[in-house]
Amino acid sequence: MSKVIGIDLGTTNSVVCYLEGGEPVVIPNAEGSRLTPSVVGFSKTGELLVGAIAKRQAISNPDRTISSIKRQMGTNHKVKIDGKEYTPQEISAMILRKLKQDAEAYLGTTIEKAIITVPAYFTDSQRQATKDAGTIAGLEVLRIINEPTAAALAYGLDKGQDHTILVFDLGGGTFDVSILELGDGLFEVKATSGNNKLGGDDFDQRLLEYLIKEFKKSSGVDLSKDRVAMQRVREAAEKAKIELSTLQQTAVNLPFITMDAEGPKHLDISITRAKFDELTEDLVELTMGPARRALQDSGLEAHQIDKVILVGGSTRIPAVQEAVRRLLGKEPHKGVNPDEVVGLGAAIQGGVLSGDVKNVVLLDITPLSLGIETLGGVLTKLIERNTTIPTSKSQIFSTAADHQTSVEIHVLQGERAMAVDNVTLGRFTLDGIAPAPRGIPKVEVTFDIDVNGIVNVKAKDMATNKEQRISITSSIGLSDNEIDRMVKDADKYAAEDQKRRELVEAKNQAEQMAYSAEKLLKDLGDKVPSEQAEAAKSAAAETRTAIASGDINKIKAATEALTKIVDELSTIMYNEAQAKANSQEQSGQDAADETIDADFDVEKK
Amino acid sequence: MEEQKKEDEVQPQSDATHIAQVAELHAKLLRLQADMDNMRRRHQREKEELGYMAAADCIYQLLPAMDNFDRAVKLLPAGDWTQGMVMVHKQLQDILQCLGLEPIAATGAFDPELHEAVAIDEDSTDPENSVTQELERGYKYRNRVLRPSKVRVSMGGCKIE
Ligand SMILES: Nc1ncnc2c1ncn2[C@@H]1O[C@H](COP(=O)(O)OP(=O)(O)OP(=O)(O)O)[C@@H](O)[C@H]1O
Ligand SMILES: [Mg+2]
Repeated sequence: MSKVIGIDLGTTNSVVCYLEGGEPVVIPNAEGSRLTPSVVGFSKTGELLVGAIAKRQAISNPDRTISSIKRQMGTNHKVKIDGKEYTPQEISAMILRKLKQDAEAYLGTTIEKAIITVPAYFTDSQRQATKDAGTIAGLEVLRIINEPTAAALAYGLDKGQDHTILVFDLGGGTFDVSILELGDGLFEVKATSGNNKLGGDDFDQRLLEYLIKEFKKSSGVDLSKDRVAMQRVREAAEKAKIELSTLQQTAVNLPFITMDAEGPKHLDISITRAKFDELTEDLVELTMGPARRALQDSGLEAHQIDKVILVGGSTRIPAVQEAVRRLLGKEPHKGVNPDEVVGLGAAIQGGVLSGDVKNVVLLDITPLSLGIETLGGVLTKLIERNTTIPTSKSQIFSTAADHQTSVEIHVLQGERAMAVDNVTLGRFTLDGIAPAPRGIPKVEVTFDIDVNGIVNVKAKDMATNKEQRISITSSIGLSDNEIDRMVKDADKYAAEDQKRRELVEAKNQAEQMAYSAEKLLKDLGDKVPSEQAEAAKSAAAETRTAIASGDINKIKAATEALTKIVDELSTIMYNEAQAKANSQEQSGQDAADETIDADFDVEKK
Repeated sequence: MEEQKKEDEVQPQSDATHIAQVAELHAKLLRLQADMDNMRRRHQREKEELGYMAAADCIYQLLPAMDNFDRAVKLLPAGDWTQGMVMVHKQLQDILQCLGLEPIAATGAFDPELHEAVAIDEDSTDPENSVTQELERGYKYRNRVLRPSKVRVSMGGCKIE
């Protein structure tokens, strides 16, 4: 079955989304943008242009550029270009076709079906025109849904218990308020209101006028007659507005904005959020009227609204959010990108209709990490928390002592660095390992978590293929609270744990070095001058004393000194081997240099 | 032990049901695998795209400073200080060029792929729809339009009312 896309066919911009693994995602267009301007144009040579490219020629080719066609949907309006007439649905179809083609290119499959959103106040004929536009574009329109409904779907409100939802949509050029009622998983529109000539552009305009006025005050130059300067100021105004949604203050910097007899002039004006709020106060107030009207029409009081959703880029303006909060006495829902929610919701509806949503198996994740205890009481994680299950992972380990014939696998769950601070899930022993120097045997440990969350741990001696396993079902027995506490603890003790871990690592390294020194001394026997042998012996002994002291600085210093001696011994060993015409294997070298993933807890037999 | 228990739980079912179930599961599996495969390919593409975007965005953010430098250099009075500034300006241009930034030519016919019309030129006698002035330089980054040139376009002598 082919994918179903969800399309927010906007007045200013359009968005196309689809469902990927049960999650709605925005599909970027061929130019790499998530928003496509709802603009269609024909170049002077008659070529069809859609989106940003069409917008670029709007000024030089206004007769052949069409924007805001959405306002004409369902009317008998005709667009006449080069003697040819187009209906609004034909123009909309050109936008839809680009969205479809770009989505196909991005997804690498053909797309035949779509959900398209329309404002809640659209009449039947406007809806029919939108559907026809889809058909002309080669799309089977599975359903036309209301923009506020799509937004509510994107917020997952269809699953909730809350029955009354107010959707506040302030975009670039239009403002809509809708009140929805949820019953049996379906949304019913109770009331709509709005102002189709109010949006972010008006906020830009206010800021622009302010900048022009301030510049005139300080420089005496009126920029409003300079089209090029105005273009720069307009862009800077929108940028400043967007910045003021997160910052308390911003500066508009436009060097060389103009030139007079005295030389170049620069525009450099600071604007505080308070100033911006003051300049746009009445615009914000303008949104309150329709919101009150919608409440009135639905026969509801503000406190009877269970959820408030913000849609449209301009609802990022703090003063707008504050006004909504004050009017309704509750915190509005945020989180999803307000300029993308409608498209995302349309994709969810598409998934529901095509059965994609049902087909999505809800995959679980492991709430905590899983691993085993290794040398020095450290937890070595094999599976990190938040890994999607089913999953499996293997890692090779080795022994910590010479001639160790068995290893104990201590299976742990948790986030802390040291084994003792985590939860034991089980233990088992793999024995029958052929006696060998430490670090030589290879034991493969495999963790496997199946769909039901059952953890199977297997240890296999790579030399003999002998294996031992354990199956643990209790890993999911922890309550959410316990899991939460364990994750929080890991953060709380992170610094402390890090220190302990460093100490263990230093001890392990020191131990390894002392072992190498002793082994080299034994292997080389009288080939080492007795003075040097004595020095090596005492350095090794000192290292062991340092290990026992538990002082990381002492351990590191002793290890460093011992490393130098081991290097010298290794050189003797190497020369020795060379002398034997390379016929002998360099076993001493092996012990010192072999890289080992980790060592098991020492368990002597 | 455990396997034993599982087997006990399985209810006897007709072959037909089994076959239908297997077919359904198989179809689901194939879809999932296809999804995975497509996702992997898309991921690869996205990774490359991301690398491009990260660099492109960084350079894009630098362009306004470059624009102002262009303006400054054009307006500076002649002199040794200016000459030094002009050299630094040139150096910056060269560095950006080495990084893959390439100025867009703003001459000849207006092309919406490369140019953005911000004003019209009613008095120009140039042929209709040709670029008469570059108001802000446009750039391509690694052969893709990073920012179109802002230009003034000739109306070929005819006025727009
Ligand atoms: N962070 C922000 N702060 C303030 N305004 C913003 C922010 N981000 C985007 N905007 C504004 O949001 C507007 C665009 O919003 P959106 O994309 O929702 O509009 P639209 O759906 O295309 O418009 P319409 O619904 O009128 O067709 C622009 O005016 C833009 O400046
Ligand atoms: Mg909108």
